[in-house]
Amino acid sequence: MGPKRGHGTPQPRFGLEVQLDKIAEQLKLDPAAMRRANLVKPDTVTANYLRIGSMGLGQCIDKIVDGSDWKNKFSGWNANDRKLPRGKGIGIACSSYICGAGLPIYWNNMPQSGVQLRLDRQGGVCVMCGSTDIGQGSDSILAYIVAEVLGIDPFDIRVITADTDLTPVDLGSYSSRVTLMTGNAAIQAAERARELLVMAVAEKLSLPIENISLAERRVFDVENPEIGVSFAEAVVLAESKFGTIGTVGSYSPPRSPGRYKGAGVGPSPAYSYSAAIAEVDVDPETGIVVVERVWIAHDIGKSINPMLVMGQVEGSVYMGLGEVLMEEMTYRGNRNVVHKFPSMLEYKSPTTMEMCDVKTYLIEDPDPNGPYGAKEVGQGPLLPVPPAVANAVYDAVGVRIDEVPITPEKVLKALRDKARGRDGRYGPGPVPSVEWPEPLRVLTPAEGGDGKEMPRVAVHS
Amino acid sequence: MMRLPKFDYRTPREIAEAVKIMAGSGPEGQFVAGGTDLYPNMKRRQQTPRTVISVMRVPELNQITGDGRSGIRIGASVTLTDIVEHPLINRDYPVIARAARTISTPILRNMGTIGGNLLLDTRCNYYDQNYEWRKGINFCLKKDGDVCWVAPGSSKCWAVQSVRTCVPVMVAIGAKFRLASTLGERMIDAAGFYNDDGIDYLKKRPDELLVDIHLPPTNGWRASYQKLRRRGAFDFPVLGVAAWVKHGSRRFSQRCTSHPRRYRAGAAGSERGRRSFDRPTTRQRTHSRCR
Repeated sequence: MGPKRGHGTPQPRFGLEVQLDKIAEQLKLDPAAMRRANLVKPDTVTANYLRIGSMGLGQCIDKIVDGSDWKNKFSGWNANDRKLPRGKGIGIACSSYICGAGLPIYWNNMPQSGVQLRLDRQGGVCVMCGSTDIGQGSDSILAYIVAEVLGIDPFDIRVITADTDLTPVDLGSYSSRVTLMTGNAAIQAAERARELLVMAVAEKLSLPIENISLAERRVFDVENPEIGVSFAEAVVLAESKFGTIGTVGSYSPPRSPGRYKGAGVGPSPAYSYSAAIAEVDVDPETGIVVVERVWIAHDIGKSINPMLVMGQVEGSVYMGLGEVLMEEMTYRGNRNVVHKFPSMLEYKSPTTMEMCDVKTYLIEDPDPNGPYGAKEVGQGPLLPVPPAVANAVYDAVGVRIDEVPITPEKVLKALRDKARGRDGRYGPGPVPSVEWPEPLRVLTPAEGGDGKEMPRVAVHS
Repeated sequence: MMRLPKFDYRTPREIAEAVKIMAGSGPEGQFVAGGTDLYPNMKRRQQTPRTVISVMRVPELNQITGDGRSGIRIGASVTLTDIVEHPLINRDYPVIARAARTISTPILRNMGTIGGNLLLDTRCNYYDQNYEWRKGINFCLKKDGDVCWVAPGSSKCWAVQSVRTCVPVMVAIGAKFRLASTLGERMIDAAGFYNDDGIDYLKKRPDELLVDIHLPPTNGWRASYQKLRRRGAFDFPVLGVAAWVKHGSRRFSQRCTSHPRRYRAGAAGSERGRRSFDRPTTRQRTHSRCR
C-alpha cells in the first residue's frame, strides 16, 4: 500500500477491522451491531491514556446501517440463507483518527501554530499563517474563522500563507492538524483584535463593552442595532486609540494525561470517527472485484465548510479504493532491488471509470478542543474503506483476502483453494517471531492509574 | 528529470522523400507519427535514433478514403481521435472505432495514430523503465543486456505484452497493410505481419514505412472487439479479443483472434491463429471459441 494518505495508519486499521469481522463471524454477531455495542464513551480517558472529547461513531454507524439497508443485505454469516445473490457482498468497517499530534514533530515547547492579523484603515484584514494549503482548502478556513469572529465577509480578508518571510510558524500539513490548530490560533488572534475594536467603539458610543457586537461588517449596540459604526470606522477608532492594529494568536495542544514511556504516541486534542459500508460485486470466474457503492459517515465535530468536508470524504473513498484494489509498493527480489512499478502508468490508481457511487453523511458533534467544535477530515475517512471492501468480498464469495491490493489473481487463488477443501484465505503467513523487551506495566484509569508506569521489579538471577 | 537525447528532426512532405531519408539514415533513422510512445522511450534511452523522420506532414498518410462497399483505406498517420469520430468508419466499421476508443486517454488519442498503434514497440516491465532503472538490474535481453528477466533461462525475449489494441481487430477482419521503401511497395496481411518474439516483433524491415491500412468491403460480415485491462481507461490491454462472423446463404464462417499476453506456440488464439470455419455453427459455439 503506497502512502498516498494517512500513511502508517491504514495498515493496522485494515488488520484490526478485518480481524473484528472474523471475531463477529465466530461469535455469530452482526458486525455493525458488535461495533455499535463496543464504543468508547465521550469525555473519557482510554486505557492507554488518550483523552476522548466528542465521539460520534455511534451516529456514524446508525447512519450508514440505515442508508445502506444493511439489515436486509448482510448475510448474517449464513451462506445458505443469503439476502444478496452470491457474488454480491456487503461489509462494514470503522475508524478513528487524530486531529494533529499532541507533540510537535520537532520537539520544543513553542506553539504548534501561529497566526498574525493586521487590520487596515479601509476595513480590510490580512491573515498570515505558516500553514500550507495542499488543496484541502485550509487557506479558506483561516478566512472563514477570522470573518466569523470579526463579523465581516470572507471576501474582506486577505490570506497569506506558507511564506517564511511573512508568516509565523505553523508546523505543516500533516497529521490532519491544520484546521484544528491554525483555526484555534486564528480564533485567538481574531478575538484579540475584536477586543480592541470593541473597546474603541464602546468608548465612542458611550456604551458598556458587553453591549457591543460585530456582524454584517458593522460594530453595533446589541440593544439598538441601528446605533453603531461600520467595521472600517471601528478600525479607524481603534487605531486612533491604540496605534496600528495587529494581533497574534497561537495554539499548543493540551498536555496528554499519559506519563509512561511511549505515551507520546496517539495523544491528540480531538479524535474524528468514520464508518463505511461497501457493497461489492465479485465475479467468481475471473476474481474481478467491482466496488459498486460506498456509504460513509464521518464525525467532523462541526463542518466549517461542508462542501470542503464532503470533498475530503469522497476523495478519501477514491483513495481508499486505490489502496484496496490497485496500489502496490513492490520491490524486485533481493538482489538489484528496484521498485517494480516506478511510474504512474504501472502503479495503478483508479480512474473515474472505477469510482463507485458514494453516499456521504456528516455527523456534527462539536468537540470542545476544535475551532467551533471542528475536527479533522484529512485522513480519517480513508481508513474504513479498504477493510470494508475486504469484508464485503468475504461476504460476496466467502474468501478472506487479508492483504491489499485485492487483485483478481488473489481472489481466484483463494476461491480455488477453497474449492479444493483448503482454507479460502489469501494473505501473509504467521507473524514472524520477535524478541520483545520486557513490557512496561501501566495501570489504566479504571484501575486507578495515574498515567505513569509501575516501578519495575528488579529480577536477580 | 529525463530529457530527450539530441537528434535531427526531418519533416518530409512525400512518401518518396520520407523513405529516401530513411534509406540514407540507416539504422540510426526512425519514423515517428504521434510520438506518444517513441518520445518517452527516447527519454528513457530505450531508443536513441540520430534522425527522427516525422510522417505527420505527408498528406497521403493523413487520409481516409473509400467506404464500406469498396473497402476503406486509412492512412497510417490518421489520429486515433479522428478514427473514433469518423462518420464512415462509425457507420461501416464500428468495430474499428470502438476498439480505437478504448486506447489510453482522449489526450493521447489526439496525438497517437492508427499506424503507431499497429506498430507499437513491445512492452515489458523490465524494458519500459528509465536508463538508470534498467542499469540497476544489469539491463535485459531486449536492450543492452543478455538475460530475459521474465524467463531467465530463455534465449528468446518475452517482451510480448499485448499492447496494440487494434491488431486483433485488423487480423480478424482480414485487413492488409501497405509498406513502402526505396525498393518499392508491398502489401502484407495483418495476420502474417507479427512475429512471436519480443525483439523481432514485426515482418516490417526498419527502412519500410507503413503507408496505409486497407479494410476489406463489408459484404455481410460483422465483427466485435473486447478488451481486458486492469482499469477502465488509461491502460494497456492484458488481453484483447476480436471476432468476425459472416452469414452466407448456406454457410456461416467465423474468425476469432485473441492477443494473449504471451503467445504460446500453436495456441489457437495467437495473432497468427486466424481461422476460418465453413461448417454451420451456433451462436453458442462462436461464443465459446471466442473465449
